[in-house]
Amino acid sequence: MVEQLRVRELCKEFPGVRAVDHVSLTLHRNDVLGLVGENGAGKSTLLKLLVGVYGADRGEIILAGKPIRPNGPLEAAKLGLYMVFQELSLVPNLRVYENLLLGKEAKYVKFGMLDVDRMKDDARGVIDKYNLKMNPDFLTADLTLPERFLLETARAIESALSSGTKPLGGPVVIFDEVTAALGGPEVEQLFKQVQRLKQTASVIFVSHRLPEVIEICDKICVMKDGNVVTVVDQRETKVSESRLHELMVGRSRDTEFYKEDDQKPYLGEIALAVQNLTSSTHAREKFYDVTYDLHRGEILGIGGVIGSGKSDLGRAIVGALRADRGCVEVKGKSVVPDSTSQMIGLGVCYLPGDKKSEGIIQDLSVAWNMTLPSLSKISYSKFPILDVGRERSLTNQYFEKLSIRAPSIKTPCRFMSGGNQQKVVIAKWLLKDFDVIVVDNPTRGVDVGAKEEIYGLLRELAEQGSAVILITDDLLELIGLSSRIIAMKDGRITRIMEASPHEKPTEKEVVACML
Amino acid sequence: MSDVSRKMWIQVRSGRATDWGLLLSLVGAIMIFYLLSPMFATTHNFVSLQGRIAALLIVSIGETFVVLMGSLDLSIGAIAALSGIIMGITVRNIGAFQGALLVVVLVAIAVGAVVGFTNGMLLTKLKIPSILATLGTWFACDGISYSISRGERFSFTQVYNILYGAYIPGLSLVFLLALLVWALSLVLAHRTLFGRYIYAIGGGENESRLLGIKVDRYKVLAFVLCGVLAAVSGVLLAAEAGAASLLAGSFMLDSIAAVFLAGTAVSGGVGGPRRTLVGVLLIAVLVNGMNVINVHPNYQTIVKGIVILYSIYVSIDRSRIHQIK
Repeated sequence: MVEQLRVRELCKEFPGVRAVDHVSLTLHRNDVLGLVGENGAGKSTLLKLLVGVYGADRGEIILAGKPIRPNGPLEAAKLGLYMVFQELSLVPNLRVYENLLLGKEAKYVKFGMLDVDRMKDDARGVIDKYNLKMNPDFLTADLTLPERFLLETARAIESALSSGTKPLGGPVVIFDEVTAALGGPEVEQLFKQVQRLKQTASVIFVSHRLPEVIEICDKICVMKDGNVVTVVDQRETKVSESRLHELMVGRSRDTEFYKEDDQKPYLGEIALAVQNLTSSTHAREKFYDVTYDLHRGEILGIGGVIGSGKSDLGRAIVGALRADRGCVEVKGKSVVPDSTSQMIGLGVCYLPGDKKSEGIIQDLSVAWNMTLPSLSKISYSKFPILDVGRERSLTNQYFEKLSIRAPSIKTPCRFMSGGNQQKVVIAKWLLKDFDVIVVDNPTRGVDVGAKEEIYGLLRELAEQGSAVILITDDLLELIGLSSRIIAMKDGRITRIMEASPHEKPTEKEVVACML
Repeated sequence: MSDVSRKMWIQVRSGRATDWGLLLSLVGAIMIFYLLSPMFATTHNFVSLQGRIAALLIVSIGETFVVLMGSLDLSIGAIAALSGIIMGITVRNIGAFQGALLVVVLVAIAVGAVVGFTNGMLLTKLKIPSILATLGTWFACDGISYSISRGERFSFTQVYNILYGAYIPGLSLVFLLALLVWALSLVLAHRTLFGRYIYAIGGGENESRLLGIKVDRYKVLAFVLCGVLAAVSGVLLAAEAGAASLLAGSFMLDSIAAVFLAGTAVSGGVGGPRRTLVGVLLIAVLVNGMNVINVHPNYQTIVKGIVILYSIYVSIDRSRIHQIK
């Protein structure tokens, strides 16, 4: 067995988290290596280090015996390291053949002009080879999502194959969660391509769907908390799904960190009821027939892998995304959430997962961001002018209370760290009265100290009788904070678990319902 | 290099918006014209300068709100021209007595509000990007102006006398009015819900919507405000020129240049009417000064272009722009 790609002692730290912590890993020539692990185990970061989206803090990457240090996917591809991205890299306003041959146009120049006919012929060859069933003249934007994924995959594989003898031993192709958007038949098709690709290349295959990984991989590397737990050799005997579950979880949870002793039993009163909520057309992540009750004083955790529908479910409840069917009952009214202003009016507010582009207006100051939803409250009662004195004292109060670290309340938010921005988002809703708050990954990209403070705030909210829906990719956070846990898989609720303090479900139990 | 200039240079290099860059340009321009012509610093010229500043300031304040919101209104010049002509027709029909002034202004405001409302609806309901929607209304307004005026000249002597009278020595009424509008716009921008929401929408439309702000409503309101102010400045322009003019295009460009010069970002959310005043002063001084020292109109336009480019170069905040295109 010849080593094709080797990673030695690779490290990458983000504020508050060692995303990749001294990872060493070997990919043998013509093998398919699976990479599995929970959300946040470090898989994506590791891949991004490999193709140079991020620079490593330490460690080295050795491709075919030579150390490499690509500074981006393009350069990595030149060196023979190809990645098929989770996010599509096709240009939507170009035609299929243009996308397939993007970057290779120079080969088709005749008399200073592009020989479009020859391009289309070549594209047709690729399309037939990969059984894509599409016209090279189609506009890429008009293709369905699975079609685009297959096209993207075909393009990456073709580029890898056409790289010739560079590097020695064939290229390395990385598939990052490409099956997430694909259905059964398309996955079969993709697997055939991977099998064919294996003859001349080496493959890294990342997926949340364990049966797929078990089916296609020669070896499976299990990651947890930025470390490699073990590498399972599958060539003799296939590993079982439940064995992989066991390997993926099993971290110790610091009950103090999640303030589990502060968790009070929730009240009987129902704050919000979700009934048969379904979204199969507008949502990026589809979900079906979701029904549950949310009680006052409760932190209800919703877990699931990325793409399980949990984030878009949250958006549908707060009116940021229109559901196809079903309704939400709140304050004795049954409504179909239509807009966030409607739901905010009903006391349901939202803390988005992507705070950089949804939660915070980067150019506005801390104070202005904080008061934006409650401006009418701080206006003078007699005439519609803002009482800036009151605004200043209110925002200063929360600035202190949440110990937001910024020079002053006048600092524009874009100069602040993620954790402090998140605190501003929370302060914003504390200033406004609400009964229900939906929080999506409130501690993503937040350092440990700020994390603990945010946990404290969520506990405090629950204690004061608000109801919190916590949507999170962090399994420990999910178990540690929640009073009850909903596990979702492929857009459906698989299980609702009680999680009272000292009787918390184990990670394995939760993960088993998610995968 | 002195400390100050080094600091300035660092700020320019690092792309931070500077208040000082623009003010220095203004002071520099005033100094140059003062040295070049004894005519520049006279009471007569000062009053004439005030007239230009007043019209440009009022229209630019409206444009500032639209730009602050991340949109652009190209129809302001055409609105100004149209309101001038409609004022002419109104004056001709009801006569130019003192009370007529109020009617005239109200009619003009109504015209501006209607066109601004149309712009807002095109943007929010038909989802036409503002730069294209207002291009369309610009043409439409110009067409209306031509067809209803039929080249007729209107006399506004009485309106002129009222508006441009110096009730306080050396300061004309229009100038004071424009400053009043400017002061009110500061309150509007910083101390009202409307102002905050305009900043919020410019800074992030998606975020604003998630916060429950009725984004479309405020967009329409901003365009209505812009249309109204354009119409008011059209009244001033027509009164000053003594005729309703169709020189709308260059007026619009002056105004947009003043807004951008003053550092209200094309992408929205940053800037505001406070600095628009400085931008307007710079443009007005430049145009007035070059007239005083007898620069040929063609060269005036070239100089204006260069000064605008230079001022934007030193004042634009590049850290906010991800792609320059």
